[in-house]
Amino acid sequence: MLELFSLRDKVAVITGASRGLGRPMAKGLAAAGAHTVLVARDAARLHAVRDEIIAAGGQATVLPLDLTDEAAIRDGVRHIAATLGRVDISVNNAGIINWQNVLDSDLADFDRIMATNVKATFIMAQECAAVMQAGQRGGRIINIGSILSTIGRARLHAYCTSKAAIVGLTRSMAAELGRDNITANVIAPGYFETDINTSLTARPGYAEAVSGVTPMERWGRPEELVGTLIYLASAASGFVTGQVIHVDGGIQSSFTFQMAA
Amino acid sequence: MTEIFSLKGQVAMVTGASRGLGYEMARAIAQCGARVYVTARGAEQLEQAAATLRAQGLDVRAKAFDLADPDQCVRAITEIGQAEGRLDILVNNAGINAWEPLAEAKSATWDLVMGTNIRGPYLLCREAARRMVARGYGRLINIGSAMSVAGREKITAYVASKHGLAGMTRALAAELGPKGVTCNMMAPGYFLTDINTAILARPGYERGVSGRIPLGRWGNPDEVGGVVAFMASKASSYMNGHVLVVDGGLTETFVLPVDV
Repeated sequence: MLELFSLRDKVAVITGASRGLGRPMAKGLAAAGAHTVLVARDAARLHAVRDEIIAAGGQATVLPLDLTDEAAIRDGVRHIAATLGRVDISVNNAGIINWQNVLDSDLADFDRIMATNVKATFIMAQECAAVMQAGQRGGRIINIGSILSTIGRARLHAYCTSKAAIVGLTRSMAAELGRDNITANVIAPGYFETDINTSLTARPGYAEAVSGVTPMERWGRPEELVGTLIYLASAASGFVTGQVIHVDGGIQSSFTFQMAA
Repeated sequence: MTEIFSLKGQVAMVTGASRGLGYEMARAIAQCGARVYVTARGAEQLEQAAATLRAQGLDVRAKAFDLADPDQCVRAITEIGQAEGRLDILVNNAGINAWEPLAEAKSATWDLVMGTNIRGPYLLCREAARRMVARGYGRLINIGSAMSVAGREKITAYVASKHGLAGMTRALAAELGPKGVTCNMMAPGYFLTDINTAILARPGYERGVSGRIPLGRWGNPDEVGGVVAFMASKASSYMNGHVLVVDGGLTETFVLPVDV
């Protein structure tokens, strides 16, 4: 039965694999058996992740590229398809965030966030889906949204817009590619302890405030996202498509608060 | 890595498990290594199902009781708790449907559907959670339906009950989360189960439904195994209060049966 969750012989392409949640997710895909293609800008960091995967007995290939460069994405995926023969799983995790008051914000910031979070996701998913369709073995598109895919947050209008857009993109791809046995789903993480969240957790009281409105009363550990990813990437999720799977300790589905001091 | 899906050493209970989707859920959980108590009202059919699963080398025990009877619900959990000293996983799958146009709908039907689909699961969650909280770990999995997130004509009580079960799931997630017990819902769409034989026999029904589904087909019963095994395992440890719909994309997309 556990074999149902195995990713052996699969090729998985994951963006933003050098740090944050992308790093443990990439290692999880590899540990489940997939040949994992690591995408991000920083080649040195990617090599470090690849070395960790290989040291653990897994398979990985680095694909350093800038996700705002459309041609680089398309060429990169074609190169992977040509060298590894297939793409079965596309995990679009790379994303950027910036805090700005909506009334003071500038369009350049909005464009920058939409370009990386939405447009790059679209191009990568489209290119991978083309390889999946041609291979006629089906496939899995897994886009990483956020708790802010479905709820709003002050001073993050561009990020919230981008993460909600990913849901629309995913559902539309689910509707269109289902007949090719290609599923498309979103994983929507809540608050996780990662290296990119250190600026948040450094704010006095922030970590505790978030825990206080989370039913599980704590932040998620990065490895707690890995199980959901492997499940969705595996044969076990065959009839699941168009879904947004919240992994947030219950924040989004409940109203929890602490009495004011 | 697939070890995180292992349920070895754990004890589970799956209601409505003598056939259909419940049977497949019980099978998957047992295949992941848990001892599974399968339950249903009819003892004979249930024992037969348990025997079939045991013949596959699985650790499965039958416990027949009526979900509509509160005393029997409490007793069932108490007995498992006493025998095993633990209950790690509860899957509230048993449910009934009743087809009644609103104008003809009887309040007795409403009570029956609510009693089986909501009150029974509520009691089992309560009794199971007491034991889970005491040990600081547990997985409550309520089985909803595509009708937990969408409506459909002439099955008002069913739709209300399945929406209600989603609400209960979220409330329990909020309350039990701090205590190590998660509560989630798996909501299946249209599956080719024997209980659906009657509607599948209606001319045009099967293709009418599949024409609205991105994957272009009904689900096979064994396709609920993987998702429930995932939700029952440590792999889902930070997922709480979630309604995971398994419907081939039906409720999240707008697909016309003809390409126009």
